[in-house]
Amino acid sequence: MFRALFEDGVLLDLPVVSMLAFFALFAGVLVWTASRRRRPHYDRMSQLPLED
Amino acid sequence: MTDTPALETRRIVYDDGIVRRFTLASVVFGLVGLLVGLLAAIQMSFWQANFDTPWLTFSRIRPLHTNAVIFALVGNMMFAGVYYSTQRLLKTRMPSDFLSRLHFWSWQAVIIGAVVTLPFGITQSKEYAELEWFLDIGVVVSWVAFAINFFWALAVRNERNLYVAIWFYISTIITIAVLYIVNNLALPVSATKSYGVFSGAQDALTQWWYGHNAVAFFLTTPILGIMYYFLPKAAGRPVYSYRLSIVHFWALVFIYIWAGPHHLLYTALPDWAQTLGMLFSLMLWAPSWGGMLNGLLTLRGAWHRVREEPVLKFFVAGVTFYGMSTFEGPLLSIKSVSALGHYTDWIIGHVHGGALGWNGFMAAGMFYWLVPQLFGTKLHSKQLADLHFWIGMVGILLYVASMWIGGITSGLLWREMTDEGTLRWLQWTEIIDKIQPMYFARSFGGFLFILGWVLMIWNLWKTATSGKAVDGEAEVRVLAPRVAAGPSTAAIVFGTPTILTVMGLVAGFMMIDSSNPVLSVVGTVFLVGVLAVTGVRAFWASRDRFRWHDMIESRPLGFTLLVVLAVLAGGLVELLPGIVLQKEVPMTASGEYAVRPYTALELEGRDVYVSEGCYVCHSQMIRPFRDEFLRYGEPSRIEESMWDHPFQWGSKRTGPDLARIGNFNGADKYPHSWHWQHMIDPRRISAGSTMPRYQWLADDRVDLADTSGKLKAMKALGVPYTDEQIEGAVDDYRRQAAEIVDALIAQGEIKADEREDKIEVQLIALIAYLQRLGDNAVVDVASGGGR
Ligand code: HEC
Repeated sequence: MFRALFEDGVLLDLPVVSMLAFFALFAGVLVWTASRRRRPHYDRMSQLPLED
Repeated sequence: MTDTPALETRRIVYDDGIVRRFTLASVVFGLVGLLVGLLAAIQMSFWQANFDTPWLTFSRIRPLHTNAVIFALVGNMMFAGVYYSTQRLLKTRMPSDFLSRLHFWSWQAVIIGAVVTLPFGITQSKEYAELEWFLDIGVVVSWVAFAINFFWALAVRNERNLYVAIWFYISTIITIAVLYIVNNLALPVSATKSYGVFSGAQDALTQWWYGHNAVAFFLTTPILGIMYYFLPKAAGRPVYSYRLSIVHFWALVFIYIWAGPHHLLYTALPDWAQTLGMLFSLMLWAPSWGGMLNGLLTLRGAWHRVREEPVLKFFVAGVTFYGMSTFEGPLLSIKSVSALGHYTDWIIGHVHGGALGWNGFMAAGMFYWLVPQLFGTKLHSKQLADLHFWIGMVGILLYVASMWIGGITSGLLWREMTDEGTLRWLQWTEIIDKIQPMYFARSFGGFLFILGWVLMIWNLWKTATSGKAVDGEAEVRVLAPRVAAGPSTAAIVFGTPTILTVMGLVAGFMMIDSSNPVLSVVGTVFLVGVLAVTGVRAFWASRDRFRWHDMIESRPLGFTLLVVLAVLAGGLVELLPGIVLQKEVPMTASGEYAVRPYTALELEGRDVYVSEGCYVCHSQMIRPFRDEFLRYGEPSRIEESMWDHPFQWGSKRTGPDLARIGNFNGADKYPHSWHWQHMIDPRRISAGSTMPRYQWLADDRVDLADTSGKLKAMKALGVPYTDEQIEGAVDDYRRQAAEIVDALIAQGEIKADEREDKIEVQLIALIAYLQRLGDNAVVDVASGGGR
């Protein structure tokens, strides 16, 4: 069974699989950055350019 | 992290003079660079537009155009933005006015140096690294002055944590230094000529590791820093998500450096390097769009202001172009797309979407905002700025669209076959004719962009003269020097995020290693695991408990160290195997070098080719496709260019590939007389050609005083010349040249009484070189040097 798995070239898809994992992670991060409640530290930091 | 109580407050005056200087240099030199580009564009339609002048010829001014836009327009703009924002974000004046000035003047000196060398054929002929060794030293001096001043400012800052813009600047300073120095390592052979230490495939890898990351760390990261500072400022609201900017930054810095080989798909470069380049390029899409969204969403709830405020218009359009280019780039890195797009004008379109749309518009937005501040006044005319925006926008769209169409068209025509399986378009000039309308449209688009730029200069000039130079001032709380609280910097640098990254990398390599399927599966599982842990950790980190990044943000040294690690990881993986592999010399069955070093004459001819910059229109790299086989011959092999310092694979085919011009299916493709005539006037041989005339090569001489020194330098770099060859270089040169001259006399090209005169002219050497191209023995793969 494993042999067939390897010989059919399924392995070639592995980079694709992990690429999808990467994109999923990234999409997750995007959602997370948008939705989590704000941290005071971040608020202060993002005010820096507006201070002077 | 709590700040220690301030010791005192202090009034500081920022050095805005340096910002004004860089701004002026950017707009003025930028205009020159753009105009040179327009001239080059016009020459694609009218070869006569060089007015038969060597130093106005396409192959000499195209490098001037690219260097001027990158280093003068964007470089000076970036420095203006960096000096302005860094002082304010760190709440300190630049520590050394002397270093700021040294930076400014040495940078402008290098630019002037480029203007007086490149058009005169003093060039390394590596893309965006054309400047010769003595100018490279100037660049390094300038950059070091900048770096010292910048890091010194970090040391004396009055703001504990570093804002995201500063991170991007750090990554720029560090990475450009590494890239520039490594790629320009060279052995000077005279005051104006050097040979790079790398050759062939290794040089190609190094060059595109540099070239790609010059785009990344010169044209992108500093401008992103500028975006993160100036966009919120102009919009009057903070960046959309600070958290996203953290992810954006690290993902970008880490991934970018690996993507260089996407410039070399389907070349003789080893497959693993190509695949790696493609994968990382695809991954780049994600953080790039994260950054774009972060920029655009900063304007949420303020979109109505975009309509009224030209500054915001330019920023919004600029960031959108960033998104387009960073979508198109990964797309072009997919092998099958690259197969069509590479070597065509599509790439030129891609570059200009970035250069004009992203860099040009971000620059304009920044200047429209900055100049009124720097002169304590209001912008002279918003209407004029609006007009600039629209003219520029139409210009860019026209430019990009025409290059898309032109590029894809030529890509398709190159490969089109007849029913009998032969090439449908054998005549190169027929293909060029078909895309001529696109070249006209492109020139017009470029013209419009320049028109907009001129409007801007006028507008900024009126603004500046309506006010007077003022330097910003601020009351700052002086930060007590102290050891940062919490774990040691080392503990943070080598903390969990770093460990996870390393584990992810190891897993990635296991996965890609196709020689062992079990390892690949394990690697994949491992990688997914690492990604999952990272996700979970990031999630938990948001509970205010985990503040790894807060800590690293307040420690410039640790931060910089992490950037270095991130950048070196990709750099080493890409470069080291190339450096190790390259020195295997392939042998023929009879025990000779399969690749003969160039004779003295051929080497000098090659230097003429390099000096004239023929690589801007001709590639020397045949890809393994049927149409290229029919048109140019066997695919190029990696060892064929192994003695080439520098490699001349090229990136654009305005003319045909030349890798086998001297040996097409076993014989010279053309006789010497063909080349002699063609170089003096291409249209004598090839009606409708757009190649410039190089008639001066038939009169200008090679300086034979340098010849043996050149062979000697090559030997020092590893090319197997014997001592006899080096000593007898000049005699050997004259003997081989005389053969070609005699052949040309026999063919009626040269008069018999000019024989002595012509032996030393550059064109004879160039012909010898062209006739040599493709003349290397085919080697058994077993004897090394192959893929
Ligand atoms: C502006 C772009 C441009 C530049 C610069 C340029 N060429 Fe060309 N070259 C062309 C074009 C277009 C053709 C095809 C039409 C023709 O044969 O003239 C061509 C054709 C050639 C050919 C014939 C190729 C073949 O297979 O028929 C040779 C050889 C050549 N060029 C050599 C050179 C050399 C050497 C230089 C530098 C000194 C140079 N070219 C610079 C555009 C250029």
